[in-house]
Amino acid sequence: MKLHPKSLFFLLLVCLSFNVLFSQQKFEKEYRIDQTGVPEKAVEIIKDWNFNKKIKWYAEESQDGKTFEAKVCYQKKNISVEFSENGELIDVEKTVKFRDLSEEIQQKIKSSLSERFRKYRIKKIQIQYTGNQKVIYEALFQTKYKEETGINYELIVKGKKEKSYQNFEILINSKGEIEKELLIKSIDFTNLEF
Amino acid sequence: MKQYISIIFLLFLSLSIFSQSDFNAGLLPKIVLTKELSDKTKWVNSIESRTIIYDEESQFSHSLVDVTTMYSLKTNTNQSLNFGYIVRFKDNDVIHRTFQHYNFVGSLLSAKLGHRFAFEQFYQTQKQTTFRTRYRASLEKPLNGERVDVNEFYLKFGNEYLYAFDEQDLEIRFTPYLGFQATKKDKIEFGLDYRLSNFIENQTENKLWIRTSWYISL
Repeated sequence: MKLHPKSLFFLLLVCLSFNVLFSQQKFEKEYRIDQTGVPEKAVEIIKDWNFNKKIKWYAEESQDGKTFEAKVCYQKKNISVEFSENGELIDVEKTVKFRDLSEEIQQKIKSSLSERFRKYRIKKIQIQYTGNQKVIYEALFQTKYKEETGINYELIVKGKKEKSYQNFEILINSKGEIEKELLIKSIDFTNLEF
Repeated sequence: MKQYISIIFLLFLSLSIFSQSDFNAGLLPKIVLTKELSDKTKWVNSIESRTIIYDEESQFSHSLVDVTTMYSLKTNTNQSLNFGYIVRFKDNDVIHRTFQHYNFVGSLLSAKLGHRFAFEQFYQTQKQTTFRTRYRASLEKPLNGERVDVNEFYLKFGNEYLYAFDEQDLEIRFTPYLGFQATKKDKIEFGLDYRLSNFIENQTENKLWIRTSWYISL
């Protein structure tokens, strides 16, 4: 039987439909939302903090639950304020440049990363403030730090452990020690290549 | 967003209708299967059919089928080298093509920008081998949020320049697509592929393809 190329194409199409229908997937979704969809408590905190800038609201859903995030550019720095599903403040992340950090912490971070990687490059760094609303406010707006102010550094690092480079999300504590390391699965960009 | 899509569509339509030139239109469905071989390598296969539904000169429909196989080597976290082979079945002719791509994908705050540099060689019985070079920039942007999640739509705009050395002809392509990430392993794109060629000689050829591409990772 001679199979016409077109028939082959449609046969392939039918076979592949099954692949899609029966494949399982992990649930994870991030999307823009209106302020009206955000818990009132979270909106109030953002109003109190008076950034005086446009706030973009996002929701993130996964198996672990739902969180809300307010993103704002304040004093030329990207700030992201994260809230729980019921509007409780979780943390604030401020994107900074590595050289903005104190010399002491820069050295500690460098030495921790050198232990982990043969070669590395910091692609992004965020200071993460945790604690109650008051201490986070003081850390963010008045650069006042108290004993209960939690300070961590969240880094995106392109690093080489053995042969090849990979991207990692790394959480470093205020002493410069690595607390968490997460391999970022490389994005599939076949549709931009071919 | 709907407005943007309508404007782009009208723009392409008007370009095609008002230009004093040869105009063809057709359908261009494509299925791309990707199999990851290792962290750094993947094997990509695709089948693409092309059906002309409107041809100003000959007014008849004919079709061709391209079958591609490609080996892709990741040279960095955002760069790759691809080596491939395409066989084209067109009427009674069979055209063989080999190609080499270099890809670079940059991540912006809420978009991805891909650059592709390509070099192609065409082989056909009783004809001389011909060469073509091409560059394409593609921008992918989610319609909601900062990244494309499962069950979300995205826009993809492409602009490509192709130069055929033997014909000394420059072809330009504009490709606005609407994409949908159906599952973690597959996405589908619908859109237009508008091709403008021969305009250096002032005998511009316009081709408007309606494209559907289905990208599947196995």
